[in-house]
Amino acid sequence: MRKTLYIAAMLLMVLSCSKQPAQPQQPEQPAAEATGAPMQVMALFGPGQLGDNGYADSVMSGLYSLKREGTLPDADSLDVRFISADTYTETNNQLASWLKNSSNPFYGKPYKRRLVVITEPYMLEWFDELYAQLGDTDEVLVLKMNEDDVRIAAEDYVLGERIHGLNISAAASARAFCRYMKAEKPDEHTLPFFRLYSEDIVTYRDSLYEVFSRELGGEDAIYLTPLSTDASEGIFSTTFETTALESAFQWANMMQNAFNYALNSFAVVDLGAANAGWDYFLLDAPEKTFTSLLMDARQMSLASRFFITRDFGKALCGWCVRWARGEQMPLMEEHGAWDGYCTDNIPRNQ
Amino acid sequence: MKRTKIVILLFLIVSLGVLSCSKTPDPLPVEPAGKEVVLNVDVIAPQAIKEQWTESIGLAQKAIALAQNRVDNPVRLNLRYHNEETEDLDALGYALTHPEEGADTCHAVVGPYYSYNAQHILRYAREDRLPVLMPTCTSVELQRIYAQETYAWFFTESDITQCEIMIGAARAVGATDVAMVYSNDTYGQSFKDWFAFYATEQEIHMAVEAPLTYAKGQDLRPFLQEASEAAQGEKVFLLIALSDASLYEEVCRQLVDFPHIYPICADDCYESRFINSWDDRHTFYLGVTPVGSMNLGYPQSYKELYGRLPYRGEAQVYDALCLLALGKTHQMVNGDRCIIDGKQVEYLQSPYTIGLTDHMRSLVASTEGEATQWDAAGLTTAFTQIRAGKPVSLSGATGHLTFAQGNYTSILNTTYMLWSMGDGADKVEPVCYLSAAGSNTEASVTAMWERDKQWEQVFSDTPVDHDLGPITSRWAVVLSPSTTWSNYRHQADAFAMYQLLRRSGYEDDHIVLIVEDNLYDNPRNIYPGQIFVERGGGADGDAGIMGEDVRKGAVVDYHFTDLRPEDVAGIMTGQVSERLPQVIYPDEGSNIFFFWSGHGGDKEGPLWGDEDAREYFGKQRIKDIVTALHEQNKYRRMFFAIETCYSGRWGEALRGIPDVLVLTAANPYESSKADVHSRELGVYLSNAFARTFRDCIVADNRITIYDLYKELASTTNGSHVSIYNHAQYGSVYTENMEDYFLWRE
Repeated sequence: MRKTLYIAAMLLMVLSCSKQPAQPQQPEQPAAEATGAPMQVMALFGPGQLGDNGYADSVMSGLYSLKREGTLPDADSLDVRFISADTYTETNNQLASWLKNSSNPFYGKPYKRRLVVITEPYMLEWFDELYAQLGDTDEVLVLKMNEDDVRIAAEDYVLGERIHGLNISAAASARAFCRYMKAEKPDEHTLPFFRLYSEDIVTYRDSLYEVFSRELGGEDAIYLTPLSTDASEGIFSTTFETTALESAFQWANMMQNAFNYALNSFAVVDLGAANAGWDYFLLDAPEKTFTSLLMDARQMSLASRFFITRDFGKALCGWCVRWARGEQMPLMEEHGAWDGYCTDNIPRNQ
Repeated sequence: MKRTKIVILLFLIVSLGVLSCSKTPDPLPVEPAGKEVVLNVDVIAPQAIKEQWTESIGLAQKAIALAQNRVDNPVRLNLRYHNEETEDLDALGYALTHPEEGADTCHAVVGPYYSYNAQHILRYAREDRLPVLMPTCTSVELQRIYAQETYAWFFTESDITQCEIMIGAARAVGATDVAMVYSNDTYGQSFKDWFAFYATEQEIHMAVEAPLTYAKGQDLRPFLQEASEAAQGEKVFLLIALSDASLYEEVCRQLVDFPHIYPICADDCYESRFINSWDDRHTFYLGVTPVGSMNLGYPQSYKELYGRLPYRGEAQVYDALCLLALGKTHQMVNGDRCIIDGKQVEYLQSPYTIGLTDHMRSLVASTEGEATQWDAAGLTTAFTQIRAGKPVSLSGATGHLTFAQGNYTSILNTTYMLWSMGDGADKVEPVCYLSAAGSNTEASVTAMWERDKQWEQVFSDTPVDHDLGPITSRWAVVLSPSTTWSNYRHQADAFAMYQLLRRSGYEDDHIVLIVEDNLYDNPRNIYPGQIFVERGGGADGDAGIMGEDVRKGAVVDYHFTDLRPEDVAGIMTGQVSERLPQVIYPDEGSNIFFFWSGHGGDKEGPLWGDEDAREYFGKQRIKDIVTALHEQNKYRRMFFAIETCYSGRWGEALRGIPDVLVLTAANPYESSKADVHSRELGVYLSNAFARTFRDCIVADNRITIYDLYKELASTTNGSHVSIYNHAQYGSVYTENMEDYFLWRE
């Protein structure tokens, strides 16, 4: 029943969040009667998140979709903005400033409702000291979080019904990849898994990590390799004295060596914007023969690899449309391959 | 006087043209009389680029207006366009800086688009310190010359970085060989100058050593054939750096018959007129272009709004316009109070007053205060803070607005996109993003991928089997074949070397100094009779105080133009004559030091004359001279210090001759670069190679050759200092410069 409701809701959303806009408008364009929009959606990105040609850019795309003609009955009723800075200090400063100033910055009139979109679950920690500044009509939407964790966060931050979760499961794609792997290399039972943080297991709890473990025979089959050991440091704290992108390139190189020594033939990569470093290694190089699966990275024609993409932009847009219309939003909403939000290029006929 | 009349005439013609053609500024709503502050900004760009920048400019204008929605006296930018391709830029530059009475004053210029046009405007802007904000002028030489000017704003890093990225990208995707074609102008020259340097640095083979100048319609097949054969079937990446976007397609089409040669295009191709017209994507491979900051979301936002990534210069022009509006606000709030690096800005020369450019500099010099973003909400914060007299930490569409310390007018953190032609709806597909410093999402150019070392020559420590007697005498020949004012540095370095030799124990009759010696009375020399190689210690490093006069006491033996190349042999082998009264008289116990500072060419190294000379001194000629000296047993040791482009050619020529060491400023494939520019004199005073050489000898005349090499290699930017023939000379680790320089003070 729940799934049916989602599908119905998504159908509405697909119609309303078309990627073929007639005339895009600038988000901050004021209404003719200049008093300012009564609502605002603000997406919070961490340093280095945007520019990934995947997940984060998709979220931003969803944000802009909200302002496209026809998405909302009255586009001027909603302001959208985002915060993305070069450092955590600047990000925190901007977040604090946003929390403090709950008025429309261009017209001075207080917003009636605001929604902050937390794009990575670990960012909730930033609210440890700031959540008290959330206004009574401010709400929080956390992406990539499962229902249990949203429930815990609701209690921790005393947010009650003002916190929500939105996720897209990649379980079906992960399962397909494991089966492809077992068909190609029946004797290979371990899978290196490259990701940004050691703590962000929460991101995978619902889908990827569990599926990989189950399909490949237990958690020991997954070699987790985090880029950073401390999410609060973010990906600046790399284990190499290089940028995240360069580290990804070096890891791909190490992976090639592992393949040459017949250690591993497959790898899963979820490095956000640093995925490009991995892609760069794969670029037009047929001799690099191990098989990569990149998470939330759009396909690049020059790099030969598998991908799973989750259309968070579409999901976010649909969610916000209903929120802007004043609907009571659920604690948790989840999509997946079943309703077309998760796609991949993994062969299924093995 | 005649020149002035011509300029006035040109101005009148342009003015008439403006009137008769009813050339109206681009339509912006004319506000009713209000309190807004209007800033007249003249945008100079080709018509196609103006159209290409429409969205970015519109976006900036909207954001600026929205961000000041609640203030009483908002700043509005009144943009007036000029077609860079059809207007007389000299006349325009004059007209903008000398408005007729009643005409609207130009408060700032955005543009020109092309590096080779920039000087037309900059030379006039200097007089009033009119801010000229250049989104796309990336010529290395242009940026070096104007880096000291407080009115010349560069919003993209110089092409040194881009050249490095192109070669690094080629290497990262498996190329073993590179080659280059370039346009014969200011833009192409930057790439040509740095091509061999980075190929050497990144240890990638040059399939064809000399980059080829390309002109419209040129048949590239012989060049491509040569590159293909040299690479023996391996991948060759052809770097293409042409200032005319339409020529890229022409070059790429010629690659169809060479399947192992892939093009990698410089940023000038990243224009709508090329991207949209190019349909044969199979021969097209990679390109590099500066973009906005992905981390701050400008390119993605742009794509969401307009359906494509921004073209070249769009993020930069966005930042330029925003900075103008913010700078004007800062000026309105602070008046003549303008602090940079904790000090009030002051000028000792006309115009003495503080201007808009200084307020912009003050803003970007600040790293404290509330962080802002490029969008309207972020700009609101910036305007609010500035109006409240508080500092801000500005970020723009190109990233955090970090400009080079000192003048704060040259941006430091350009993000480059490495792109390819995609098969999908988007013609351009980003591959990855790079910047000089690197960030979490960008690879650093300087620590490109797995490479973590600077190129360094490897020497053996094998002792040389020779029996050298005691030193009985020291002789020196110092020569500069340059004669023009713009080549001031070559003669200046020769004079400075003469002074160093004198301080090191040489009597004047043991030095033959060959220079034109025509700088001291040059009308442009504001220090008549004097020549300098160092700026003094003025407040801005160039405040009218110069270092030591290196011409003082120098005895010039020959004016360069009185000699012929063959005379050098007579001078070095002691063939005194009426024509050559001053020669050296070396014997078997003599150490000979030879210094040459001038221009060089890629075939034979040092030129006999200025950069336009048609004659090389000749590799064979120098080899014959040294061979003759060796056969006549007329030296104990010889040391060549050659400061020219492609000076490694001489190093190659002299290989195998016993007891001769050749130290060159550049390897055989690369140009060497000037150093120490003087704003006062408008020329470079010295080259890094010569300057460091002098510094090292003064600091320790017993410095080992290896230590000297290390110092020179680390301070001579843009070329690879090289040592030749060390196997015939002795260990570079133990042999030292006391053989040539005694210290007497």
